Amino acid sequence: MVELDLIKAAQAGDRDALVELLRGIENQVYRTAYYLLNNEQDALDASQEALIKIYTKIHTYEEKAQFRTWVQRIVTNLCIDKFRRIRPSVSIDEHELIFESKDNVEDEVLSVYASEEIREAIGKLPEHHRSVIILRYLQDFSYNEIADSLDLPLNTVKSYLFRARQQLQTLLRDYQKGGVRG
Amino acid sequence: MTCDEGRELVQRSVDNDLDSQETALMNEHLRTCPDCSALFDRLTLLSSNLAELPRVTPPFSLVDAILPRLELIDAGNGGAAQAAGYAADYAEQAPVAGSVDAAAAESAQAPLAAPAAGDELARRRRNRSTTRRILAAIAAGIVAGLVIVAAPTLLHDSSSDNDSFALSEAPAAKQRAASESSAAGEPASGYEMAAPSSESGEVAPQAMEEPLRANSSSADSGSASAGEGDAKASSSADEPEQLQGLAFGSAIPSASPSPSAGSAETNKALGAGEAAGGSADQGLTAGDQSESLGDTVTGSIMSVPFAEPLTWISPDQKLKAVAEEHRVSVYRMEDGTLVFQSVLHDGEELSSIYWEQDSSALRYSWKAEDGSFTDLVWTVSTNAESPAGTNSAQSSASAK
Repeated sequence: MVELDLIKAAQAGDRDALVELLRGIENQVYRTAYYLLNNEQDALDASQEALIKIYTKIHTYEEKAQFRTWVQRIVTNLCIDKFRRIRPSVSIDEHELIFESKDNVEDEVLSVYASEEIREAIGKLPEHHRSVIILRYLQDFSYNEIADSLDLPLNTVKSYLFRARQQLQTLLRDYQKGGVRG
Repeated sequence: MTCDEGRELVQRSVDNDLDSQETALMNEHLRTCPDCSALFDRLTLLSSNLAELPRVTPPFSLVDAILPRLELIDAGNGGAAQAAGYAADYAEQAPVAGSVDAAAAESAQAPLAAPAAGDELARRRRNRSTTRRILAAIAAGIVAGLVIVAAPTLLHDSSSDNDSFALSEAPAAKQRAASESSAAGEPASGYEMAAPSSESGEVAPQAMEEPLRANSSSADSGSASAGEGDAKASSSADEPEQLQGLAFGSAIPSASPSPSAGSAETNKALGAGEAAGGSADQGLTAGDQSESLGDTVTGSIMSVPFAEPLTWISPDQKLKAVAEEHRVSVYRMEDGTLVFQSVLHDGEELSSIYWEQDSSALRYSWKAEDGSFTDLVWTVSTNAESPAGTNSAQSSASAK
């Protein structure tokens, strides 16, 4: 409600309200950028760009969308553009999973992965899978909110999310097998 | 139940997306299927690991960091809005130029929307101090000579007011070049009046000299009018007479390269709009419409500047960068010796080029056919070309 008032004031041209609104979202913007780009400096650049974009485009926000999904749409689009420029994306086939056979499953030891490893693994996902995972776990978005943010159909969101989790699992298991961890 | 269905339920259960009936179905399947049961355990664990990832926060307030840029954007938008009205006065180009400006002014609806957007923005800006406006105008003047095409790499320069100003201002100003071309002749005398008004003013004329001489490409008129945009933004408010000189002064460059300015000039000026579109892509100012408009208008036009080499002189007047076809070369001003020559970038277009303000480096960016960018920096002291990394903001900030 407070946020809504700020948005309305900001759209009516109240600059202070707009700045306050930005202060309220800067952490969530940064968090997405940080995990999407996997690099602090890039994340700082991208989230500042995103905040500026929000500042200049606030009047285009319409209430039918949730403000936070609108914000996340801006920041994910910006980051995706940015990391397309910074580095070539991982081929979607590279970690395409045929679900592992039974003996693999039995060999596997369940373990808690270090957040550093998880972050690295997220960084290896194709961009849309990465976005979906980040919105789900770092913004606590529902399927619908993710769909709104990324402008994807609901079923696509689910299939990206499910596949991303399987890919992460494979990647993290490979880390272990590679002896990264004892 | 098949394992396919079982896996789907497992995945959804991890997201708490199952109702009680589906949960019962899943549990029943898990009891009989070790594979799916193992999957359930692993996904549940992974999911809780993911949910526990650190909620990182920025090391400093991002909003505080961008406040100066936001102020400049406010000023810059005013320029664009004002220019939209300006364009309407010079009706020859109004249909096209007006709509580009409207987009830059964030209204992005139709040419007619521009004045309305201007009003709204003017309201938002009302309490800017005069000093600030004047400073912004001067900053724009300095930058005008430096920024030839809106550079995506500039976006990284978060710490510099001047640079960021260029960013926010350039798109609008360049688009305005279209409407300016017919108007530019009148006010040349204003320049002398405005230039000595500050030490920054002395830098500006030098910076603008070369674009004047270089040739009459779109980049020239675009950059030259960057300064003017803000001056008008400023004068649009309360103290028009104080700033009028600056506003007119910087109009000179766009007038001089092609005094006979027919429709060709208009086309070139619109070419500059494409750069603005690129910038809009980065999200600083214009709406989608300006992007698409820019692209449509210019696709073919942006290659024109290569017909004659463009030249950029370093702020300290010692070096001259020349954009030859698909490569950048740097010559010493004194005796014209070649200092540096980049490799050929076949199939790529030079999308931006500018000197650091302290003349320590030349930054430029190549745009490939697939739309990807390669940002490079050539450092004077080392005479070496390197990728413009993410630290560019830091290095350029510390250099000042």
